[in-house]
Amino acid sequence: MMNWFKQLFSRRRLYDDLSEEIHEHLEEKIEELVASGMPRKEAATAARREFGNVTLMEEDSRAVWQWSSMESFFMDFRYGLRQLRKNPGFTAVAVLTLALGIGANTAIFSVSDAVMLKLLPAKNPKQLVYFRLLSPEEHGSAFSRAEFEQFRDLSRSFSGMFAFDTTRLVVNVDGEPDFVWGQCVSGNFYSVLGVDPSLGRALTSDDDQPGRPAVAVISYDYWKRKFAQDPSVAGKTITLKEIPFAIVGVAPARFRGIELGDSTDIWVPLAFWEQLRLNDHLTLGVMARMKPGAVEKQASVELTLIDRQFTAAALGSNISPQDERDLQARSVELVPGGRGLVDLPDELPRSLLVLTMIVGLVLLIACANVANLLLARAVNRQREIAVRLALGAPRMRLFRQLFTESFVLAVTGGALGLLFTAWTTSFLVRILSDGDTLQALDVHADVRTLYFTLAVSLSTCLLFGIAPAFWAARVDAGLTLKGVASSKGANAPHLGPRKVLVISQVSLSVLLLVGAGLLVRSLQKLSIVDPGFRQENVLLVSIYPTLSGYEGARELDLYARAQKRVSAAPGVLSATFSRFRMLSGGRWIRVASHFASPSNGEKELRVICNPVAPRFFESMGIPLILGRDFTDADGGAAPRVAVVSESFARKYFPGEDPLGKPLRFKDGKADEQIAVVGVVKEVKSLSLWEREPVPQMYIPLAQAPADLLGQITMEARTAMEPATAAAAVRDAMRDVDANLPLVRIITQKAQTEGTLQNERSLSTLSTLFGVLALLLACLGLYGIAAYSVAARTREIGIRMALGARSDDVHRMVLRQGMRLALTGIGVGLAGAFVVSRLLASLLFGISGTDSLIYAGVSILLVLVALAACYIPARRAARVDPMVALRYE
Amino acid sequence: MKKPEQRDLFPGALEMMILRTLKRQPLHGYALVQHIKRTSNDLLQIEEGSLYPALQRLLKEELVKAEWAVSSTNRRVRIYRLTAAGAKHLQRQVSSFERMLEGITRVLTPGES
Repeated sequence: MMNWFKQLFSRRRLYDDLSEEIHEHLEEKIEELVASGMPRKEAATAARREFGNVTLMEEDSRAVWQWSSMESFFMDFRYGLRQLRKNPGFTAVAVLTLALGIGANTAIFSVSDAVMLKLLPAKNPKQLVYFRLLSPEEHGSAFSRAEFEQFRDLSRSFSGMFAFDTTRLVVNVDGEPDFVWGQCVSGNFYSVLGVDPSLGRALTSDDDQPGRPAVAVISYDYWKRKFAQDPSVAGKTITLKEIPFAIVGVAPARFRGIELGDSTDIWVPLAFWEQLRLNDHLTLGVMARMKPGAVEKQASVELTLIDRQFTAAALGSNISPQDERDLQARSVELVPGGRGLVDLPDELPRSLLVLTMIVGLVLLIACANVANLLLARAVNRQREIAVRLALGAPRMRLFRQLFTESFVLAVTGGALGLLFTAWTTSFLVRILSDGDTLQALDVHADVRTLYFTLAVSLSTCLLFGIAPAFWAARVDAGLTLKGVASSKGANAPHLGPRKVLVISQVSLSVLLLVGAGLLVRSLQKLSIVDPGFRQENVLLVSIYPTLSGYEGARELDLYARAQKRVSAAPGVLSATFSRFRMLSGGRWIRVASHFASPSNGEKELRVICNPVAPRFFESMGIPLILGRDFTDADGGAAPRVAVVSESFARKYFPGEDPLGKPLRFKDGKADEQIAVVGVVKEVKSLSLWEREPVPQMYIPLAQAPADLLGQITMEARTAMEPATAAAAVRDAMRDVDANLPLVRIITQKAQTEGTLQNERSLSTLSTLFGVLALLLACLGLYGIAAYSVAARTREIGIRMALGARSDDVHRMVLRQGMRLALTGIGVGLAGAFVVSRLLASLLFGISGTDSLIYAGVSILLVLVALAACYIPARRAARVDPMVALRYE
Repeated sequence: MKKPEQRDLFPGALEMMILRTLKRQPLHGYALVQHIKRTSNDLLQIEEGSLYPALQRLLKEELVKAEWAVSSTNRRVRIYRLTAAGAKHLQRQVSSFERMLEGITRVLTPGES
């Protein structure tokens, strides 16, 4: 019986036949009656009476053919669409409100999804794990090459294991240097991941054997960017640090590497790691695929044993009891690697969490708004509903129909929201990213986003659709049709739920605005923080000389030449170098050998050490308090010297003159002594968030440990707007070495502001949503005030006829609106007081219960509420008692 | 909202009568009503309201088929005709009805057995 399919299409004809047939039947009957002598008019009535309810019968006859529930749903759906089309204003407001709410949620979801849930485009990504070492001294994912080899050769829980080092590389393509992200990987990298190349071949274990020709695989993106998707790219030769590499393949488009948020441009065998790596890249990350059925816990025990054996062997025969204890405290744990390595700013998940909460609140407010609109409309449709009830429509059916209308709204809103998401996600990623991270994040709407949107739309539909539908199904047809309901204010009880909705809207927007206010204030406080150095007119340029083949004395010579040449460039006042940019988060932390004056529970004296070139303090505007700056004489062979910050001097040499005194460090060699030659002012070097700056010291570049060299930042103090001096600096550097790529050329001001990117995006977005919420709440307030004025026109008319002045009426309406608003504000403030605790860690220099913000938001809300009620109040005051009374 | 069905004696009776009538000759809806009324000597009043849903059910189960034609009174009518399946169905229904009737009659007629 495949008939249903045919029926589906022939049904219209079936129905037409039926109607015509019944019509003919009636005609025939009438004719017969006329023939028997009855007047035509009477005959028609008689025939119809005898025949019964034609419509009902037609409906019953049609019902034979229907899967009735589905079809009446479609009918309701179509009816719902018609109803919505008839009220374009209402529909537009409701759909837009929902689209904003749903779209915002979907956008945040797709970003969170990309950050927290999406799996690598590898085979069975859930089998992939990532090794992490837990030990008393360090927690990290870095292992020496020898240890990796032990893991690989001795463990039995894994079907494959590879090591990798993510690094910067300078690639020379046809003599043109290009600065890229690269990865040195074990030969089995692609086979363990189960990723097949889109062109050519992947790396193999063979490529990783010593003495094999140098080969590389490039990313799809790099292939597009650099080689214009040239299909003959395989076999092409590129140069890395003077070594020619043959490109053998292109990775698939979806595979951007194993680091989430970053994309790798080129992969080369680990065999070349020692030659290519940056000086401070001494260790490798390790990833492996679990054997099917292998237990993670067991694998972790296995790795831990291997690690302890390996570490013990490195310690040699004289193991002290302390060493023994440390050894027993070491363990290797497995981290799920299916999502890739998460190397995102730490705060990102937290800001996503806060954003998720914010958009959730916005959606709730949107739902409240739509529910409010629907209720208002349902009251206006009372008459229609009553008529339908009187004509015999089942209440269940009415309930269903009104609910279907809500469903139509939700689905339309959801669809629009999805469109809205399409451009918001890129906007969101831009707001959230700080330039480097996230750009490569694979954020795009997929089936899961679709499911999410659908789920959200349906739940909003439940949220805002139920109450109006319930209410409508309770209408008393008799009362309404007699006109009792409207004149006796039988509507009054129905204002109850609407009042609750408006109050919750107001309180939710108070919550959002307080949050936004706190975040904005905190950002303001952060951006006026004085970092202790002069950030204006400083241009930063990074270079990686080691990637272009500079080592040892040649490298130091390069710095000296570059400093001289750039200092002489037009517009540049002075130029200098430092290993770490100020406020970049880069650091080398050393632990001092002793702590002379510990305060409030500090256990050890940690100091941030930055190797710098001469004239660093002058260029960065850090005041020198005592002693001298470094000079060219502080070379590698000269006595070790250091310039320390005030607090470091105070803590290491309390009450003494630090100049000339020796410093010792726990990580240093026993005989290493560093003489203090100068003292400078404290600066905030890691982050503006620092309440107490971490003590600092500076050492001459030439005396820096080898692993800190090879990559460096040049700071140029300019006479004018630093961005305009960029061209001059570029030219000067080209004179020094045209093949040295200049990286991340930005002003120090931009660098500093970049550290506040997260704070900025959070406060921008929360303000945006806060204002949106305020608008919605305003709409809700206006709606309820306008509605109650309309419903009470007669009552107002009577009052005025009895002598109330229009001022009194005006005040009465305002008073009622304000009562709702004030209740909402009260509830919202209380809520904010509780919720602000969640924000505490995101706030700088301001408490979560800052009374100024709370007061400001309250005043704002009161003003907005007054504005929202003003028009209805004026309308009420202008009611003409004669007209109002005649109206009924 | 539907009124309790009171269209005939027992479920299926109307269908059975329709099928039986159509077996004699193909008819259109109005004629069907008239014919059943007449042959039952007006004992059975068929409510026209229940005729059409019943006809639609029979159509759907393919026990009858319908086509448009022009009647002797020059009116466009839809003539219903028994199908082979309809004839078989009627036979089954009639025999089961007869068994039922026999049973009822035995119960209602006292003194025998």
